[in-house]
Amino acid sequence: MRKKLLRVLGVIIAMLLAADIAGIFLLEQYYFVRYIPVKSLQDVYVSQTSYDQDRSKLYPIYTADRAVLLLEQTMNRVKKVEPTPAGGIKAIMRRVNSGGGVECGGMALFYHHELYQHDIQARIIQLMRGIGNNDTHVVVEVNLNNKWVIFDPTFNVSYEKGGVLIGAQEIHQSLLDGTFSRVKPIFYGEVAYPSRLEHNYMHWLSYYNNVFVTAAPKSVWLSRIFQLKYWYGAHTYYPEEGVDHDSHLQRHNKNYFIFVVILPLIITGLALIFATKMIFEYRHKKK
Amino acid sequence: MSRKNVIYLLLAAIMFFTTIDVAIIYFVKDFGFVRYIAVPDLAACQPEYPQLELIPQNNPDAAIYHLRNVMNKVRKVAHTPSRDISSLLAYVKSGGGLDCSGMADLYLDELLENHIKARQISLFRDLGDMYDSHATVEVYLNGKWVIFDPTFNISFTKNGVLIGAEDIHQALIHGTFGDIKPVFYGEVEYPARVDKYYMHWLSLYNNVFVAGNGDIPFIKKMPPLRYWLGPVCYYQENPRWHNHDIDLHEGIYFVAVVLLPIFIMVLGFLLVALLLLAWRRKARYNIRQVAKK
Repeated sequence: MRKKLLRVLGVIIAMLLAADIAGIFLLEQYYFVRYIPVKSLQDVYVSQTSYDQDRSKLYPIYTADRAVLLLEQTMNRVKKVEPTPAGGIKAIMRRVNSGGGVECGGMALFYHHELYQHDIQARIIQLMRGIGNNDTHVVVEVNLNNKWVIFDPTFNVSYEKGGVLIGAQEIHQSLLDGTFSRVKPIFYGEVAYPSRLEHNYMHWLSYYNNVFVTAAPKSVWLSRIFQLKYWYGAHTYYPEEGVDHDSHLQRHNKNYFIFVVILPLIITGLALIFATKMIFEYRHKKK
Repeated sequence: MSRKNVIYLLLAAIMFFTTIDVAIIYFVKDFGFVRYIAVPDLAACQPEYPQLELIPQNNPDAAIYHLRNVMNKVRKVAHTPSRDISSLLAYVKSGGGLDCSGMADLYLDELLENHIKARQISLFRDLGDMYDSHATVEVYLNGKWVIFDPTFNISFTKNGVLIGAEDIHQALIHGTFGDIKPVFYGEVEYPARVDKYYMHWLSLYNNVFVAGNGDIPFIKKMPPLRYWLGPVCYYQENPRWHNHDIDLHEGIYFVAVVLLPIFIMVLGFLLVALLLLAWRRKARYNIRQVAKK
């Protein structure tokens, strides 16, 4: 009887493990992070990289000049578009110093790092036409007069609406409420980095269908423990826009919670019971 | 390994793979549990209605006439209770309301009944987002597909020419959407209006699909037949990598609907065969025992 019980328990553990692995595999395809809705992205200012953990020295700027100057300097240091190397800012610096190129993600990290070196508050924004889609873009927002404003180190542009520089969330809102025709890119002039907004394979507006501020894990060690990954792992913030606009992200979150917290917890519990029973069985047999 | 252990192992394997399959189906059902098929030319895509002879139109009058007719039959916006046309008609007659999918079903049915070449279009701001989505209808007019939207009583024009859903999608991708204008066909009973809608129509055209013929017998909806004979949606193939998320869904759908069910069925057959063999062996053994006695 005890042997049968062990077998049944083993099968249940294997089944739940299979479901969990399948779920995690699927979640990974749609970015293996927790999506957190916030009322407004304006207040989201979190650590995003390995170097910006200490942000106490960083300040907003009050004119765009410094951000534009650094943008120009950054974009003159990279002369080609090439896949960004893995390994964060150090790998990017090595690539750039050896004359190589990077893509939008690398340019954003490079520019963000330059702003950090100059004590300017900035954050990296992830844009996606669709979740799990390859039509993505990465830009940087700088805190200008206590308002987040896009400075795009790939295309050397910002955006304005009604003569005021704006951020990614405002473009996203404009796409949804139909005022997008009033949003205009501002080009800051020729630089060595060759990408130009008007020559991009698609129009910039669709990138703003999904706007995220990504955040580094709260604790690298705790995020390695599976059930704690939900609370301490990498996560990303998106603007909450009422009941209906983010149902796919809410569902992703629900699935993330099931496959990252609930199923691993049940599996761990059952595995503990299984191990205890095995030990008892072994001791019983020995006696 | 004893036969009994093999049977237990088979049973465990079947349960294991069934669990994976159920987990995947749970995951992908929100992306519309249909097969997405990329086609080189969406304009050439007409779902099959074998019993009907469909005629392309030379002027929009018939399409507009039926649009008004359908939109005057329904007086409120409410959740569509069923996709079955006869029950929808009875429901509408009794004063029930419909949402965009019900309106599109009714309008498409009326067009097809009148032999007008038409097809249903599904629109999604994001794949898997069932709220920011819309269903509309296209009529084949003067050699091209043109939207006649039975929710808002509109079509769309670009530089004065009536256009289809894929045209709007392409305009969104390439930034030429500034020239697109909705054309309103006048007041009707159905109360939804595009200018009062909770979001602008443009971002709905981020994902455009032509819905296949939804009238499919139950047996064809069962895996693994479902993949080849079940519900489908068509989308415009893109030379670049725009459709990575749809390709991914397509791969997952194949695994969940074809590979795993076939695998589970083979294991199931093996299990049944082994059980039968075991049963026959036991029966023979019992007969021999009785004979010995």
